[in-house]
Amino acid sequence: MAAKDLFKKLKKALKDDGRKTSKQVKAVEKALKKLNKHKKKLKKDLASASSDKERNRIEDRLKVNRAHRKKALRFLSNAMRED
Amino acid sequence: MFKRIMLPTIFAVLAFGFWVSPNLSEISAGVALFLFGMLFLEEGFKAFTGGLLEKLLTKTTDRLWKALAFGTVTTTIMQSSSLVSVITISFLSAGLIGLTSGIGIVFGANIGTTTGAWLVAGLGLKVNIAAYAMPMLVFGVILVFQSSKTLKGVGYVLAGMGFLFLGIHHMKVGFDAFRDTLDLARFAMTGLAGLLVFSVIGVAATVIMQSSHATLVLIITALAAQQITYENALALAIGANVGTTITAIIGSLGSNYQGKQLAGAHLIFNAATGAIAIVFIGPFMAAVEGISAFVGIAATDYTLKLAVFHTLFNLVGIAVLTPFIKPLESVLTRVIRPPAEELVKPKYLNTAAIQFPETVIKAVTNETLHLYDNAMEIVAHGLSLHRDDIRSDRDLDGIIRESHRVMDFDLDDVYERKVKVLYGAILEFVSRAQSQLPAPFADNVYNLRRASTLIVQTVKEVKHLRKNLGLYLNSRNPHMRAEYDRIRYELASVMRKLSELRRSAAATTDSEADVLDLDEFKLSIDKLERAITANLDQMIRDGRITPTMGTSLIIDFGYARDAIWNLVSIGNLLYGSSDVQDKVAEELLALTEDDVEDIHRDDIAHAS
Repeated sequence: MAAKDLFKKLKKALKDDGRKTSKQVKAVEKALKKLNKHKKKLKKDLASASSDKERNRIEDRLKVNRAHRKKALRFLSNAMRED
Repeated sequence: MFKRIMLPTIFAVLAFGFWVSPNLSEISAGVALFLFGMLFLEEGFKAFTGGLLEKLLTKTTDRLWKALAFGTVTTTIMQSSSLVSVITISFLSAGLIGLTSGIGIVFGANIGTTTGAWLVAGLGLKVNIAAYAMPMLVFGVILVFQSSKTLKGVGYVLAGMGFLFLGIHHMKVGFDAFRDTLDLARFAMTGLAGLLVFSVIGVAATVIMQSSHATLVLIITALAAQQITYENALALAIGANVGTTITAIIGSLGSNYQGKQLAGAHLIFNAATGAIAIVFIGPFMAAVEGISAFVGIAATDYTLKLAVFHTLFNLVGIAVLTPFIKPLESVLTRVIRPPAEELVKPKYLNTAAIQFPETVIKAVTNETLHLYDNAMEIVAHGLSLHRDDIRSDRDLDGIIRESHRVMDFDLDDVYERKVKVLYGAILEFVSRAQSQLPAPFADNVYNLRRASTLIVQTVKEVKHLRKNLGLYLNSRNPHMRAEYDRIRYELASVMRKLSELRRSAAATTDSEADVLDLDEFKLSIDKLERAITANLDQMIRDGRITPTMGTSLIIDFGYARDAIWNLVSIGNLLYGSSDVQDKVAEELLALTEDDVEDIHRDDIAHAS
C-alpha cells in the first residue's frame, strides 16, 4: 500500500474515533442529567418514607445514584482533559 | 387399585401358609435371604460403578458381538441381570451407548443369567454351601463397616454371596422336609396343558419375587427334592425367563423413553425365546438328552439337565433373534418415541430469519427472552416461589413468608429440556449468522449471546443454592430460616424488577435510568453478605447456628451474590437502551465490584 493511501486511512480512522468519543460524551451527559433528576426524586421519596426499611432502601438507592454520578463526572472530566 | 390389594393379599396368603406349614416358612425364608443377598450384591457392585464398569461399558460395546459378550460376562460375574439392565438403561439415557448396544447387552445378560442355574445345580446342591456362607457373612459385614468405598463394596459382595448361599440352603432344607409331609409332585401335569400352566406359574413366581434367578433356584431345589417333575420344571424355567421381562417393564415405567425401548426389546426377545421353547419342547428335550450324555451328565441328574435346557433355549433364542436386532430397533424407535413435551424447541430461530441483519436481531432477542422465561421458571421454583407471585404487585415479604413448601421437581431434567436445548440452538444460530452481520448488528448479537450465557449460569447458581434451601426452608432453627428467606427475597426482588423493566422496555425505548437502578441489588446483596460474614462467629459462639450451618450460609450467599450480579447484567443486556451510544454509557456507568467496595468504604468512613 502506498504511503499516501496509508496516511489517508489513518486520518479517516482518527476522525472516526474522535466522532465516536464525542458521541459517547453526549450519551454520558444525557445519562448524568437523568441521574440528577432521579436523585431529586429519591430525595423526595426519602422525605416521605414511612418505615425504616423503606428509608434504608431509598438511602441505598441514593448511594448507588451518587456512585453513578461520580463515574459520569469522572468520565466527562477525563474527556475534557483529553480535548 | 391392583397394587393396593396385591401386597396385603400376599401377606395374608404367606401368613396362612406359615401357620399351616413350618416347611413353607423355611422355604420362604430361603427365598427372602436369597433376594436379600441379591440386594447386597447389587449394592456391592454399585460401589465399583463410576469408574471401571463405565470404562468397560463404553469401550466394549461398540460392536454387537462385544455388547453380547459384555452382557454375558458381567451378568455371570454379578449374578444379576437386573443390575446389568439398570446400568445399561442409565448409559443409554446418558447417550454413552446406542440402542443396538443396549439390546446386545440385554440379550447377552440372558446367557449370563443361565450360569446361575449351573452354579446352583452343579455346586449349590452337591456341596454344603451353608458352611461357606457363615464366614462370608462375618467377613462381609466387618468390611461393610469400613470407611473405604472399595472395602465396603467387597464387604457387600461377600455378605451378598453369604446370604445367597444361606438362602439356597434353607430352600433345600425346606423342600427336603416338605417331601416327608406333602408330595407336591401330585399336582404335576403332563402334556401341553402342563407346559402352559407351569409356564404361567413361572411367570407369576418371577413377577412376585422380582427375580428370575431366585425363581430358577427355587425350581432347581424343588426339582432336587422331587417336589416337581422334570417336565414341569422345564416349563417353569421358560416362564421365569418371560417373567423377568415383566419386572424390567415395571422398572422401566419410571425411566425415560429409552429405558422403555430397551424393556420392549427385552420383552420381545424373551417372549419369542419362550414361544420357541414351548413350540419345540420335544426337540429341545431330545437335544438336552444328547448334550447331557455327551458331556457325561447322568440321565437321572435332572437339575443339571435343567441347567442345560435353560442355557440351550437362551442360546437358540439369541441365534434366531440376533439377525433381527436392527429391524427390532427401528420398530421400537418408531413405536416408543420421545414424548412431545420432552424437548422445548426454539420458537423464533429459523433459516428465513438469517437472511437480514434486522431479522437476525429480532429472532435472537425473542429466543433469548424465551430462554429467559424458561430459566426463570426453574429459578422461581428452585426458590420455592411462583413466577406469577414474583411478577405481581403483592408485598414480597408476605409472599416469601407464605411460600415455605419445597417444590418437588427434577431441576436437571427441566434444565436439559427447557434451557440447555434452547441455549444450544441460540449458540448455533448466532455462530451461523454472525459472520454475515455488519459491525453494530454483530455487537448486538454478541450481547444477546452473553445474556443467554448469563441466564444459563444463573440457573446453575440456583441449582447449587437449592440443595440447602430445601434443607433450611422449614428448619426448626429460626436464624437459618430467616437468612435463607433473605436470600430468596433479594433474588425475587431482582426478578420482579426485571419483569417491570421488560414491561417498560416494551412500552418505551428509553429505559436507561431504570437499567442503572438495577445496581441497587448489587449493593444490597453485598451488604447482606458482609453482615453475615461479620456476625457468623458470634452466631456460632452463641449457639444460634452450628459451624455446618455457618458454612452453608457463607457458600450460599456466594451463590446468591453471583446469581444477582448475573441477573443485573442480563437486565442491562436485554432491557438497556436500544441506542448504541446510550448502551455504551450504561455500561460505563454500571457499578463494578470496586465501585461497590468504595460505597462500603464511604459508609464506614461516614459512620465513624
